[in-house]
Amino acid sequence: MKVFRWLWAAATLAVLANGFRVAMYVVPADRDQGDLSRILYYHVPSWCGMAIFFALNLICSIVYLALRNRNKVIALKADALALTSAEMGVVYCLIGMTTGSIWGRAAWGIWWTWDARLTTTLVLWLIYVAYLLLRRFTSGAEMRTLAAVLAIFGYADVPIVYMSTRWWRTQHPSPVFFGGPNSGLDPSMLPALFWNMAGWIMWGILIVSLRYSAEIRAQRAQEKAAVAALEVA
Amino acid sequence: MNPVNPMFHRHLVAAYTVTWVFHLVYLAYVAWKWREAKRSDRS
Repeated sequence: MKVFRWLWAAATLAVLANGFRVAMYVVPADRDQGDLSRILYYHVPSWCGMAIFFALNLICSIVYLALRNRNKVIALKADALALTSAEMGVVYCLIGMTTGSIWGRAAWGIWWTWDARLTTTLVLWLIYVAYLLLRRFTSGAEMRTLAAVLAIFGYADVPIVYMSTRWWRTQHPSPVFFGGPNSGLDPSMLPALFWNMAGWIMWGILIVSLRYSAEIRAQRAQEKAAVAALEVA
Repeated sequence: MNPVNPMFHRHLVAAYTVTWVFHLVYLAYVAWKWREAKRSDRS
């Protein structure tokens, strides 16, 4: 496992390095925006990472709720993965908002606007921050159940964020994927997007696996402490 | 043909830097959690 993780880390860094090279020096600059458009190659992969890890959080939360009384071992593993994927999703969401804000400052002249896409995204980020705070400041089985329920309700905002540019008239550019006519990227720019998307998703998997191992260890230590406390009593 | 090196575009550099900084800060947090869990698991 250790060797595999090191190999994965090396492959991730290689893919990210190549992604950076392709994004900066291989693909052409946008006709209208120039080099500013290259922000997209870090911005869009962040959203893909966020979507993947929030979906994983949803699945793990459902698994935890379904198995918490029947198979405690798997339920606790699902709960640990739910926590780690939520943290990773929050980081990706923050990066997506920040890189978008930097792009907005250069393209629109403003850091932020209360446009439907931006607002629903900020609400999504706040929901998952609330999820992490709930887990941080409470403890025990009830905390895990409450957190799982909050995660399921919180995920309802993800499709709203995705559809916001289609449902409402927004200032945000049209979607890169599945946006219909007059949207999307020129095929010459796609390699940069795909390399960076692969690299950042691999990075996310690596970090979540490390955090998951730490969380499993922490759970084990908590159980040991609880058993020791019972023995003393 | 792009005559200027994109590395000199300040908004682009800021966006890429911010991405790496956030990821590395979170990596440092994960490393701290890892060490803390390892220590408490041993004791």
